[in-house]
Amino acid sequence: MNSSSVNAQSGGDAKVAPGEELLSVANVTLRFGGVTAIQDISFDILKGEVRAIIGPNGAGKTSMLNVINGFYHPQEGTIRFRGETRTKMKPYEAAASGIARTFQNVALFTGMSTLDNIMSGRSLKMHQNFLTQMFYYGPARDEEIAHRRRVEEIIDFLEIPHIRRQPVGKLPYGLQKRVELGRALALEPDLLLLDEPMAGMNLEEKEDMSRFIIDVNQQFGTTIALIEHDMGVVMDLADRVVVLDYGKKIADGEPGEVQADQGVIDAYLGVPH
Amino acid sequence: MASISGALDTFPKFLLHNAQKFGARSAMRHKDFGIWQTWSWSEMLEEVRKFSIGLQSIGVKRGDKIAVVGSNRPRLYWSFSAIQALGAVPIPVYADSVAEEMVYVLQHAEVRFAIVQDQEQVDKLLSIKDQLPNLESIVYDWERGLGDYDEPFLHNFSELQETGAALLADSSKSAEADWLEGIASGKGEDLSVMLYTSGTTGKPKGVMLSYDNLVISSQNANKFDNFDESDEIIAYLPLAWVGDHIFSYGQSMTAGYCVCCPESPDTVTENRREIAPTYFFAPPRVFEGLLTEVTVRMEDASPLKQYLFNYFLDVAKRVGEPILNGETVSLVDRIKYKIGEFLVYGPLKNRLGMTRMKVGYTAGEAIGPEIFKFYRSLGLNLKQLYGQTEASVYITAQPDGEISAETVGTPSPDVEIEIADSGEVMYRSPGVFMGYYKNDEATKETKTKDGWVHTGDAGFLDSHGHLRIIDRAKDVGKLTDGGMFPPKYIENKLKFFPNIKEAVAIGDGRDYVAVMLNIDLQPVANWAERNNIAYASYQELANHPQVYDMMAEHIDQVNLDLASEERVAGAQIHRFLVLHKELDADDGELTRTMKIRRTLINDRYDPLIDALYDGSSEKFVETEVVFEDGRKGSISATVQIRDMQPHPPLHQSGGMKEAAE
Repeated sequence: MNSSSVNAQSGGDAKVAPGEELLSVANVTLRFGGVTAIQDISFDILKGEVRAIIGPNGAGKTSMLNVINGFYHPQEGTIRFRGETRTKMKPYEAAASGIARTFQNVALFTGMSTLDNIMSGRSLKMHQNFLTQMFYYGPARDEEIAHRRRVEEIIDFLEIPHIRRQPVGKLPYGLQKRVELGRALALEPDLLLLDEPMAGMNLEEKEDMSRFIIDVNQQFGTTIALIEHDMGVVMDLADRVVVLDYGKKIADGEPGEVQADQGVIDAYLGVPH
Repeated sequence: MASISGALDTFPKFLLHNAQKFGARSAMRHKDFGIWQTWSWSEMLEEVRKFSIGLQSIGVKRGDKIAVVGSNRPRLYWSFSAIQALGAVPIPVYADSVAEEMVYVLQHAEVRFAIVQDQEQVDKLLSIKDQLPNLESIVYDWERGLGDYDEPFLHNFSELQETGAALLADSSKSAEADWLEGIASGKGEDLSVMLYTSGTTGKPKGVMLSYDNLVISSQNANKFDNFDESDEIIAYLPLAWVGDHIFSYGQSMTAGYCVCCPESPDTVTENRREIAPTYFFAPPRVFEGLLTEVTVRMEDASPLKQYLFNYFLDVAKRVGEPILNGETVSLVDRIKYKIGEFLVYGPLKNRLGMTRMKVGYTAGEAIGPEIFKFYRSLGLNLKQLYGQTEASVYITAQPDGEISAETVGTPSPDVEIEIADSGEVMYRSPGVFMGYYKNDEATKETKTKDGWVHTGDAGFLDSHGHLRIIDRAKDVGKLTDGGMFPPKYIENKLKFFPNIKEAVAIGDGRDYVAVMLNIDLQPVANWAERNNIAYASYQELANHPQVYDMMAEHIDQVNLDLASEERVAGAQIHRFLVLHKELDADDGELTRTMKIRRTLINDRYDPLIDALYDGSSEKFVETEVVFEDGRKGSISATVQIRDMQPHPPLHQSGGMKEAAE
């Protein structure tokens, strides 16, 4: 694992107090050729909250996440993260500035062990150069030990010590998802984006994952934006919910309000056109 | 440093003694954050003292009952000493108990405090707290996820330790002297611990054991197998089980050996390999599981490795045990065995974490002779013992060199054994329990006036004075033709096959014997993979015709075995089925120590049992399952039933046999 050339220094230096705006999306429109995936969407994410993004299939949820994390660049609108407005940002810059994410499909290094996968999440935080790391001496060793300690804390936190040395490709899906969360946590992000963390899980795995998400939010104070289909999960976890349908925002508010919103019910159940 | 005077008759006194005598020697290890962390005896004393005084500060006093719930973590073992130092009584509870099971024990014991491992246990206790009027405070070890719990009666283990440390440091108070005085006033005949027996029938009973019971039994056991402060064990069995309390607490305190706690219950095998304990205790299913794992791995190994493995295991099978027992073996065989040690047995023992094993014990159930011999042939000193909670474990044990797969050994030191006229095994020893808590009736039924205890097991002493157990006395039944029906005997024969995890035999008052089986997923899944058998779920695999063929083969083998034994030839299996779900302790079908609960299973699977006797070839059933948090679901399936062809009895005289044919 050689050190990344990206400086891990955070983008904005200002500390955001809990309850204040961490990220805001203003009038964002994203088009792929003639298709408008996201149309004039605005919402914000407050520091320390769990923000859910929900909506029927094709509503533009994942696109929204990709916009936040710099993978797509919207044609219109602005994104402000920690008070700093940014235009075009590459995903690795987003990562360096404190945004981590997991994917709808598991995207791990399948041949590598759990430990190495989570350790890879630390690479942005490692500063020693390739040569000193190769000889594993002095500061390079101290750095490795410090990072390993942090990774071990995450392994402990996620209750996965038994798979520490196992290649992740051989693990069951539920555990792979947990390793993926571990790698995102290794980045010590300010904002954690979770794209359907519970897709394809059985009831027990879903409950475990929900518990971990709550614990991450409470123990580390990490702000979380999550996309989820399971309404029960969303209602339990989220502080606020934004609802998308056909690329437009149709509701935004606390879970109870959103659940009672006629527009949302129509979007989910369908109305005669 | 604290010093003590007077007899060493309680565990807190032993702790003070050990801290003085062994000081910097390792007392306990725990793998945490991927590294083995170690506490010496004096460090452990410090941890215990701080916590104990912290407990005192929230109101723990002499005579209080305190539940300890969780897996094998140092802090929970320290809790035992910390509680006992105050004259209170720890009550370890099975950590995987569902809430409603826990309610009964905690209510019955009137616990005032509970020390638990983590959030899961805290949640469980909070959900039943309104049914526990006596419960005042809950102390938790691991704070993860508990950050926003603001119940005033919740305490963090570390914070209590800090409180304790502050009180100790406060020179205006005499916290330390008071604490030591409290320990000094403890006596050997005091109640040391209460262990609730899981019980295959009825409600759990609280077995009260005194310090004398545990200290004397532990010391005898240490002497019997020469344990001292240089030994090491790995603690992985449930805290609430008497075996763990003796091996990981009592014997460690009295011998001064080091107890290693695994990183998590899932990493025991790996952690055992790292520690290589010198003393290892496991119920037969653990030894079976390890052997199964080895066999499964070898089936996937390269042909050369397989050849070497099989060749040298054959050598070991032939000469391993004689060498271990010190018998004469030819030089060629000795050389072959040495090469085998280098190429196969050594690496295998290393893999199993048994390289340094001085003594290994198995108990709790009958162990398959093949499995027992396998470990012995590798040169491992595996022995059997027979024990009970009511006896502080030890009733009989096999002395070195007098080993047999069928018997459980000679009476342990200071233990007397008698076989009652009914065939039931009875014993009397210094380890015999004080009584069942708040249940004099049951105490009277079990313990006679002069201290003899009914084991409930039928057995006999063989010509060498070794005890042999047949079955639970009350389980042995009769078939309608008057033939004997020993269910456990049949079930054990079935369970010796790696592919069979559990078996339930039915036959009391019936025309013939029938069994319900549970497949063992690991070997059967591996076999399915090698034979290209596709399946989507446990249920589907269990119901697969080829799995049934395999089971039929095993049963045929057992029938052949039974046919050769005169007394049980009539108890051959006529029909069987493979259950669609695993028997589970959460559903109450097994005890927490994995013994089957016959009455409950008979009730629950009544439709299946009827089908076993009405000649039908399949049956649809729906079974309720309970999740660990107490919610319920159900599993439904159509279960196949197969007929077996029993063998003619092989034990009869020639003339009779001809007549039968």
